[in-house]
Amino acid sequence: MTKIISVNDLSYQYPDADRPTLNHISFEVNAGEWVAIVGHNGSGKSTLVRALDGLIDFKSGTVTVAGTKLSPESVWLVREHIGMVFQNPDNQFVGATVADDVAFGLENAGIPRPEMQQRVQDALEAVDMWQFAEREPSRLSGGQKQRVALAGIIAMNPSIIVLDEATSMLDPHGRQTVLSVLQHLRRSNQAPTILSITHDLSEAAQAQRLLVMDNGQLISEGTPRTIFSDEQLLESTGLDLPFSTKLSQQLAKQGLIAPKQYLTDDELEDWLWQSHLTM
Amino acid sequence: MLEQLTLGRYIPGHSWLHRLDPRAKLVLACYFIVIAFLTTNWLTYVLMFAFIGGVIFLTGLSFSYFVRGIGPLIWLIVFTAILQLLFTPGGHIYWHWGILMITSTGIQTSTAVFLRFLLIITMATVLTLTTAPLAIADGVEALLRPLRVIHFPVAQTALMLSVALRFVPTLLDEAQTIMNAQRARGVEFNNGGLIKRLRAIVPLLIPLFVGAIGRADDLATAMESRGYQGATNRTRYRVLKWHNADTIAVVVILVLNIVLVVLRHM
Repeated sequence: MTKIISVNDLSYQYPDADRPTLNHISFEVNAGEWVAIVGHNGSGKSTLVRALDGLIDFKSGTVTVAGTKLSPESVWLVREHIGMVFQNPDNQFVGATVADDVAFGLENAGIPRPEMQQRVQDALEAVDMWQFAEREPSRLSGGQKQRVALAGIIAMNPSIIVLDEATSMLDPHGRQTVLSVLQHLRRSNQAPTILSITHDLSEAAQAQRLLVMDNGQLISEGTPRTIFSDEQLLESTGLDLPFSTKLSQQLAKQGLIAPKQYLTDDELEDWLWQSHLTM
Repeated sequence: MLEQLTLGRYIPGHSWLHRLDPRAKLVLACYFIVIAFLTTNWLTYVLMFAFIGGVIFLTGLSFSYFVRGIGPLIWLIVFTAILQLLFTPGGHIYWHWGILMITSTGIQTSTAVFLRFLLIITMATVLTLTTAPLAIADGVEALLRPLRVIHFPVAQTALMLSVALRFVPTLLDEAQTIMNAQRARGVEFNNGGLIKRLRAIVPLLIPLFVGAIGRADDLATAMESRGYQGATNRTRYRVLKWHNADTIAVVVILVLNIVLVVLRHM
């Protein structure tokens, strides 16, 4: 497995803070992996991914992305490899229309116009927003805006997609549409590496590996299944399990073991009432 | 209250005028405003009003939009015309009281001022009703492009303009939310005297500014992460195309200018 991200002993303290936001962090991400970073507010998750993109100026530690060591000289090269989607759908919408916004990154990269038009259309079709190409952002829902933000990233075809709580301001339906775009991307030929920060553990459950952060430190990592079954860890970091996982765990204690991990309430519900028929 | 603040009052449509290139529309509207001052006798006024009537017809929009566009300014026009009427000396004096007088020259100039203002504002209304704010921004950028010679940052200015336009509805929404939140806490925006109302604006403006600065910070981070390094070597997704219709529009207005000059001397 090739390592696409390597972080080594990274520390950072905001100028006016009394303790470091990132405290000696080291981890690696494999190419094509989906990793979720979880932890409560202020644990340093957002600062960590901003450091990867060179958006904060850290003094200690090294970050290597796709073989390039991050430095003031290489920062634009590193940013070509990483596409970031941020939390607030409104505050990352640069263009006056959907198509303009998707084209923004391509314009910055100096892509010729005919190629740009094709890539904008392809990216908008990939997120099912092509019919809204001429719409203004004020006439879109939060979920639609985040899909446009994703299209802006897809158009650039980066090897890594970073989601910084990209679904936290969305309603359940909007969240679902954004996640299904990601799952669709994962099935494509050039599946990007995904690094997602989330509060929502049902979203984290879709990742292959979880990194748990607390107080600027990486305190644990493992598959969703191992992390979710560590009740002590969850309690100490203040993370709340998704309802379906809680219910499955309680059922397992009663001797009713679900054949696989159900991520949504609906899936679990379907399994429950069908299994009752066959019992 | 906030809905009226929306920039431009653009009404989407597919008329011939809607489809004209924004550069052509900006230049022609300015040109029309300049030649509106060439009007002298009643023939020239008839010509100009017939022309603007034709333009209104071509927009395919209901006449009431134009009445509403001129509405807020009608008092300014009337006030200016009355000043002209009362303070212009010369010609036959019909009435006078102290320094106020109504003279034949005064009646002529105030009528001219009134009619020219009406022409100018109607044309400006045609421009904003048929051209999307973004298209106007594109047009302004294209027209400013020669200023690059003196190192004026045209591309940055254009991006600033387009980002500002894009955030107008977002900030209006936010202002509405803050107003409702403050109302729920007992702030009255529509009651009391001038001072009281101005004081009520403070709890609206401060959160709005704090919010806007936060958004600006977020937006800057997002733009940087998407590779924005200033205006160097950027390509453009949106380009303006000059059509035959635009050339025809230019010819029409030049003909108008010539006819106007001829009528002036009749």
